[in-house]
Amino acid sequence: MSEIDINEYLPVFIDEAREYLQILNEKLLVLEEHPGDLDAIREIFRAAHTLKGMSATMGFTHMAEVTHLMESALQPFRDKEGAVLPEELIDMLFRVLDYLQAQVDNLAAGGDIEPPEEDLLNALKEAASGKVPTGTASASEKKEEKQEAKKETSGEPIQFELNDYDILVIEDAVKAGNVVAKIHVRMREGTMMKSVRAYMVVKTIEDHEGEVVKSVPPAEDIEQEKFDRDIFFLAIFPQGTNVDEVKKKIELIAEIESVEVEVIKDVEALKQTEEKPTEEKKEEKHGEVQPQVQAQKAAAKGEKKEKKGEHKEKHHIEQLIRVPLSKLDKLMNLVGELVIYRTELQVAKEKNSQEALEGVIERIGRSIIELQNEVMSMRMTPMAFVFRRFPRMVRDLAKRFGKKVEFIIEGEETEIDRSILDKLGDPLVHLLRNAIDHGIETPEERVAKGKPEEGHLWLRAYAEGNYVFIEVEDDGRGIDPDKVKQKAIEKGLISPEEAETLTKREIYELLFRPGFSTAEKVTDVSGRGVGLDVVKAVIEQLGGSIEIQSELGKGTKFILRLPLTLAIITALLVTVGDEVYAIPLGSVDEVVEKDDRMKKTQVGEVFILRGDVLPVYYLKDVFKVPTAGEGQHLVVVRSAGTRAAIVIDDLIGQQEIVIKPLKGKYVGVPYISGATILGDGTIALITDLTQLLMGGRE
Amino acid sequence: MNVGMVVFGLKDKYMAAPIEYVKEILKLDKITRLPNAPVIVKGLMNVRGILLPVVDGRKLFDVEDNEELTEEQKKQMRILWVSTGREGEEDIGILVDHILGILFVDEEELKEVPEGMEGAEKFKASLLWNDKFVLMIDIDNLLRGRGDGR
Repeated sequence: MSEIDINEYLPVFIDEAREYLQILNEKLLVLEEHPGDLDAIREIFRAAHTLKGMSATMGFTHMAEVTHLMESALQPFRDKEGAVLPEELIDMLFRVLDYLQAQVDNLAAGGDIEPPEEDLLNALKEAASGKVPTGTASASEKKEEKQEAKKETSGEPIQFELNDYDILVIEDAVKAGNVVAKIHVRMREGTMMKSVRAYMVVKTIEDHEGEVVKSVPPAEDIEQEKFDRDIFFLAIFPQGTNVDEVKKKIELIAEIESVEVEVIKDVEALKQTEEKPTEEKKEEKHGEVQPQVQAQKAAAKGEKKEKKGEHKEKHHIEQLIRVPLSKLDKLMNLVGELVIYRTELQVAKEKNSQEALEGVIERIGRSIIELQNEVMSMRMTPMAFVFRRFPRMVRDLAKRFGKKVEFIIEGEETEIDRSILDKLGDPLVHLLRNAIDHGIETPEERVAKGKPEEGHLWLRAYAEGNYVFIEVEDDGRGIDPDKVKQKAIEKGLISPEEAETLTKREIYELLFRPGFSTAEKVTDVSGRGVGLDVVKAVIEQLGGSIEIQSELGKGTKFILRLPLTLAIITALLVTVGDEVYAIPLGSVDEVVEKDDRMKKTQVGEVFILRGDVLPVYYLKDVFKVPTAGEGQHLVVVRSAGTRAAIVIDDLIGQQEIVIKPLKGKYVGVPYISGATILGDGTIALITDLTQLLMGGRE
Repeated sequence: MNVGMVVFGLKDKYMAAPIEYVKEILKLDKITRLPNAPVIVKGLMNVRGILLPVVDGRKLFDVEDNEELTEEQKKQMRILWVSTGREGEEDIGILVDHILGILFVDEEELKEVPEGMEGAEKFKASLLWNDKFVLMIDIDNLLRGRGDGR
């Protein structure tokens, strides 16, 4: 294989490797808490295993070796109920993780894999050998191993060229009592469709639950029929497999001249062949070969491709994003629409009808905008993308500051535009760091206050209406408004007189003032000042807002509100007078008739819904609609933890709408978060329920 | 050097927008009212899928506005889609009574805005054209700032 292949698969490799590293990271953190968590051990084992396979197929032998050793080191623990991982082992695993992480980062930056540090490797080897009694591996696990199918390039004379990794796999298999066999298949002279025959051989091996570890020539060449008559397979079968039976089955395949099966009992024999010189001039020829789909099961696994050696060339690594099939279908539909419009355009031109022409152009324009929005919506990415790196960070920070912190992540599946997500990392790091450094007290302090020794730190995300909310909450010491005031006066941000009139909320706002944040630590004010202005700036740049809620001695909560820009939402379309408004369906509980459940009270009208008293908002009053009637329906909505009933005239129905945010000097108006264009070209304004319900009645 | 501008009328006043800021001249279409918006904002117009905020030229430039328009006058109304083309600054449409045409003048013909004139900051030059006094509007100033209007 040539560089072309590696270029093609590297982004996928990096993407997936990161996912598995993330799993490793998460589970290691779990293990640190509960060193005996068997599920976590197994997860780590699986992740290491998959990483091993991926690395090996890409030819990243250092990574493959390290992950293999990691697997071996974990081996004794994964089947034993009640096994507890020693702390040193966990620490070492963290180091391994760091090493792997660094290598993936290297690759992503276009660099090369570096070998692990000598002492880490030695420690790993020790852990792998010292604590792993040979032959403990179960047969089922070995089957997993076998999926690490390998193919190797080679010229003639035909022989196996095994690398260290291959030998490790075979060694393990032999130790586990599995049957490792070398199968030599010779086809008849002038065989047609040799690749099909070869495939049938592989199929037969697999029917016997065997796994092809390696073939000569490699799968690509077999598929391309770039071989003469001989193929060698190295396969691993479960313990007790009768290889003669396999041989007989293969002999039954048409056009097979002869089959030789040799069971390998001694790995040393294979190692010797490795020493022999091999020819590699064929390498280039199968460079452009596509990944094989069916030639071998291993190849069918897509990334189970193999690349030899380390790569000296620097590659540009493309960023990948996963797109659900349904979204692609939607795109396809839109493209379909455009194709139809093209025909319509042709017809309009032939008819020379100005009117028809304008109509088509209008429709095309609309479709293109929708297409654009669709494409943009593919950029929606789960928060997990950013959140997942935090547990480790929190762990490290907590250790550094001598705090005990339980970190709880909620709602990491919440999606947000990738471009927004990419910018959220730093502000969140900042807020989390602040919470650990200054928010959460030391264990001693907490105990003295009668709080549990371990502090809690929550990071949650949830979508509501057209916004995504992210909260960073701790149960630490909270922010003292008086100290903030004092500091602000000292800094000359406010006068003492002004300070008197400020509400708690306004006081916390001071924390975001540029002047408040200085390079020096202001730990005496819970240290919240450091760089918060920067955090606010980033959030606002993204069209969002940030708010602090805090109670002295109880904790602090930062609430980030971010727009789901470019998003498509389902909305309930309603009319008020002759105006159309859209209410995000996610916030709608139900729609009820306006009847005698409406009551007048001193604080205004309320609606009694099954015993709940809901405040009532007239949309016609909120939006000062000149032509509205008295209203016939009530839309019961929920936002920011409160419910309310909104009086409207009529319902149009629910519809998917594309949100166009309204911001700026002229169109940024209260209670409206954006607008959308309906099918007939009408503009419907999207109500901002959060703002409406939080703002209270006027 | 020649300076190009779109000359428009607002009641009995004449004004001009530098041509490099004018994206399009549109006919008046349905405008959707934007509740609680500043009084000068007429609303939003759907221009081929783009939501264009439309600002009332008369109110924007403090031209006396107390009589009903006749149907004939309404037909003459146009929307001047102006833009600075800069990132983060919104485009707006200015509703004007009628368009007189596109004018190219020598830079030297441009005079300063008369001192002490009310709302002088909204204009950046003035000129005499066919005995008519024309004020050249300052679109940068008009669109500057993100101000959230809340």
